[in-house]
Amino acid sequence: MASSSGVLGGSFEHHVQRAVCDTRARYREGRRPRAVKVYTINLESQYLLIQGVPAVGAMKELVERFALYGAIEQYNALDEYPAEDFTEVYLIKFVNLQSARTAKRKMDEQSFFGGLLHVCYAPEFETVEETRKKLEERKVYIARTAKNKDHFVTKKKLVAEHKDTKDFRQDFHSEVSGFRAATLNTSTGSSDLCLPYSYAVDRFMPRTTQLQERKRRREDDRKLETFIETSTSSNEVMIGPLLPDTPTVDMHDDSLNATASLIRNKLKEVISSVPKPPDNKLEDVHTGHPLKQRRRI
Amino acid sequence: MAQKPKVDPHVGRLGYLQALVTEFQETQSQDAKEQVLANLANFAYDPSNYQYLRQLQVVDLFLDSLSEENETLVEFAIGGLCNLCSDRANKEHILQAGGIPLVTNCLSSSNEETVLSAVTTLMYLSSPGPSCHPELTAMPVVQCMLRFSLSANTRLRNLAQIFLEDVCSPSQVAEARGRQAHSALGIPLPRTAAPQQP
Repeated sequence: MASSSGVLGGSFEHHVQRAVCDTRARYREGRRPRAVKVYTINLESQYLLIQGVPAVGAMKELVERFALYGAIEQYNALDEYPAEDFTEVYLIKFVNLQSARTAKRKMDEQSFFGGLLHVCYAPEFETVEETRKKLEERKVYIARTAKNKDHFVTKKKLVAEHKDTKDFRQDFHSEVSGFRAATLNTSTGSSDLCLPYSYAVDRFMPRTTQLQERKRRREDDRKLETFIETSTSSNEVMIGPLLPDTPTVDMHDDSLNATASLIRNKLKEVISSVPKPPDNKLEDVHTGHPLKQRRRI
Repeated sequence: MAQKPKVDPHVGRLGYLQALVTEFQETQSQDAKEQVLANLANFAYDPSNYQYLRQLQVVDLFLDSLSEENETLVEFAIGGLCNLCSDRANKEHILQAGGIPLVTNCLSSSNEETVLSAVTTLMYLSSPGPSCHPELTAMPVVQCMLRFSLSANTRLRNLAQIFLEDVCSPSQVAEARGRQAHSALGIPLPRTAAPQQP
């Protein structure tokens, strides 16, 4: 089964595009048809091999297209690599493995100047040092992620239970939208982020969003932490969107500050009174706080 | 061919993984087993799944599958281990379950990916400083790595070199080199090198 030779351009098993699997059980069919293959850190690389590039002198355009996914350290055509007629093979070396990963995922099977690109990793181009660095980075990444995940994981169970109430919450929103809008107008931005974690690990996010996402998760995490510590029987159940803390502003006047904190506390009360059992809650809201449109002054 | 278990789409990641494990254990189809094992091995790449995988004893499933006759299943299983073994908890589990000999056995596979995953797994299972697991650098293993470090296969050569430099001590390597000249080695390379002279 192992067939690589030392000659550059010799056939490498892992470069060969495998046939897509068509016998998967429904429940585990992915969004795109995929071959049966396991990706390990050995298979992945900052080096990408691109086959099927139409020989039309489009190297610049090819590199520009790939550069969308991250900084490219070097690139060159592989003239000795076996290629189909009228196509060329290129090697692109990304600065980061993550960029290579994303580029591969996005560019594989994409059309380019009338041809279909086949993109795969080319770890055999790595130096010993590059391989060592790759393995080390993977170890560091896991250690870092596992440390954060331990944090999440104990809360995941609790939050998972609240997942089911998501539908209820949406109905609730529409019922009392007027009232809620009046008091929670800062929350619209975050209303989608009801769960403090996401399953979509492969989701490609532009770098800035990743940083924001991590920051948000850290904040959510802290909030959940306080929740865990304070409640077994309290009604501080965090079903709704996690609202940003209202900033405490000192208005340099005692009475103004007093008023401000009164309002703040009232808001907190209203928010924390949200997660009572569905039926009762709606009734309470209707009878206790009749739906008034807030008068806009 | 493959079973179609009823899975509630709302059941989430744990439920999905559970369904995979169940299918793996129950199916008669080799194809389905391969697909499911590959699926699990790929999930093992992402640390956010590790607590589920441990809960479902997937680490043991991988270890058990190393003894399968089907080479593809072995390849996928060692790939899965390679993916998750650098996590501390998984590493402990593998070591306590006596995983080292199971992994070193894979060094003699004729499947290139299997061998590569095995070498990497051994590297991740090792720890700096005096080892509690001397089997990781047992003489046959070091000798094997020495041979790999001369391989025409770049990936294998690189990994073996890193193993020798980072996991073994210089004296272990020197000793292995000394013995190598005289002994008949029983660990064949994956099919890339010329046959050994006895």
